[in-house]
Amino acid sequence: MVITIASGKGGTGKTTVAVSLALSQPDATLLDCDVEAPNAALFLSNPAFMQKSITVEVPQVDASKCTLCGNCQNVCAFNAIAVFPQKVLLFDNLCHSCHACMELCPEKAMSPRLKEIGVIQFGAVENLNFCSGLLKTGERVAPTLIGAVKEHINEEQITIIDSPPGSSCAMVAALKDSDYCLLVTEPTPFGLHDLRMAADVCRKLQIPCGIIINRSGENDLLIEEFCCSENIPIHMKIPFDRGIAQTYSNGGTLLDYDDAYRVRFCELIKTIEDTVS
Amino acid sequence: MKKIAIISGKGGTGKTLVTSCLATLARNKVMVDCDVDAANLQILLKAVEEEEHAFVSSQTAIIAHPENCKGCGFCVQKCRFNALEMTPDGVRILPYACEGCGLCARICPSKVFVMKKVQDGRWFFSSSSYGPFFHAELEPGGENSGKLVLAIRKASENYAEKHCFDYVLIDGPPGTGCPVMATLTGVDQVVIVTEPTCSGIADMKRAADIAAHFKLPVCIVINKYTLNTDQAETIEALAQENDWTIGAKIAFNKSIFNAIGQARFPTREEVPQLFDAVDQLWNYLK
Repeated sequence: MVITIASGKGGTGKTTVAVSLALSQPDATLLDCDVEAPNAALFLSNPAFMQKSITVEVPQVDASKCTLCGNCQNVCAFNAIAVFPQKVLLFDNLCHSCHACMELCPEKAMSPRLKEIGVIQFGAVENLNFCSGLLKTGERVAPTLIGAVKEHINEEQITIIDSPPGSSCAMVAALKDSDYCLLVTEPTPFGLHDLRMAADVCRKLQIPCGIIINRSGENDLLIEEFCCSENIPIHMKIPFDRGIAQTYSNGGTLLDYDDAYRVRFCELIKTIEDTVS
Repeated sequence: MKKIAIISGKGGTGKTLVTSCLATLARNKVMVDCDVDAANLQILLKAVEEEEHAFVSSQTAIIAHPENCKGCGFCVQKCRFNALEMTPDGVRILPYACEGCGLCARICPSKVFVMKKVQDGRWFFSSSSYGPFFHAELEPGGENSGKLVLAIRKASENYAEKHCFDYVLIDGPPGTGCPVMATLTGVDQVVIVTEPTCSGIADMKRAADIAAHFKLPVCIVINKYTLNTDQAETIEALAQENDWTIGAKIAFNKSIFNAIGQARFPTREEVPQLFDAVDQLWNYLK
């Protein structure tokens, strides 16, 4: 079973929940797909990971075959190719690796070359199989790197995916094909505003979802009303608690703060398993 | 005209809080929320939308002639995004998967596909009691490549120049990718809002790396600094090492969170320390 932890709004507690949830299980796979700013590893003790470079294919031109006909420029939907009287200029950072230029070059003068977009780190740590992705600064292809991290999904275990914030293509890449989405929110208008968008994405992808309210307190009604009208269950409330925040600030999990969360998270997994089946 | 961008690396450190506090102090400014994936500043500013503009930048494949599909599967084989699936009723496009390259439309022997322009998002010009405000909304599932960020930056800066505003205050997105790059390009000063936590410090360093790429002077705001004074000291030591200015330190205070929970600014009476800290920050920035 694959459970993705998403939120819409940044900083609501996705990583806190994802790591604590994974550590509460006898064993699990934890995938950090927040590839612009992956932090899950900060909460795991003595990780020693292997690293692998992740690449995409971008075009290169064989000048001996190229007739400067300009077809590649015409077919490129991303303005990644400019054909001048003397040469072809390629803008890798705009390329989507669609291969249209290579497929449609009449002289077969274009071929793929590999370009590194980031790295993944993976290995066993505590009770977990762990994989995390880090995108190279300035690269746009977060979904491709997220796909590489998700290759570490283990069918034999529960897989927990820590998603990026927002509801753009990166979050969709983390969430798609999951069995369930846990949306971590905070009881503020900001949290609610972004939660709506994230819940919309879940609906469009036909992935069942449920809510965890983090920093729960006097304004919970904001979120409760939304969940009631949308028929989305609230699974857990984690109180606004300076002690929790302090534990987190030192790299501790909810289990480190209070081991009672272990049982709560195990019960949550059972509830999700029942929903999914 | 001075352009000041507020970023963080880590989400939820308080960028929008700091930007909105600066909005109460800075006169003669235009505000922009560049977190086009999850814009929130308009909520605190109680901005009133005056103009809405469609943002069209990409295209998507649509099945224009399903009756022509012969089930050859050539498109499925060639699509690099796994966006196509063959069914007994012909080819189907999977939701959120198409990147609009147009290859299927060009190679399909039966002319099943056409490419259609997509509205990737919308951007808005609004008025507020703190001044003119620009923000945008990316379509859910949309590519957050930074193009929509560049569009509202351009619109806001053109407006600011035309109407002789002195400042553009830019509330940035979280992360370190293209939307952040688009937020920082051409600005005069960057403020990195961080928090005294392991994650906050790790992402602050990433954000500072990007600022260095743009050769921008870095000003750090430590939000919730009393939560963990050891980690706060670590941030101050890093600032010293790297020649970053500490623009302000805001104490951890539940009243701030509660005020935002009620969609309003905290008042100076509720949290005097916050306002003193932001006064100090604005004195440095202006």
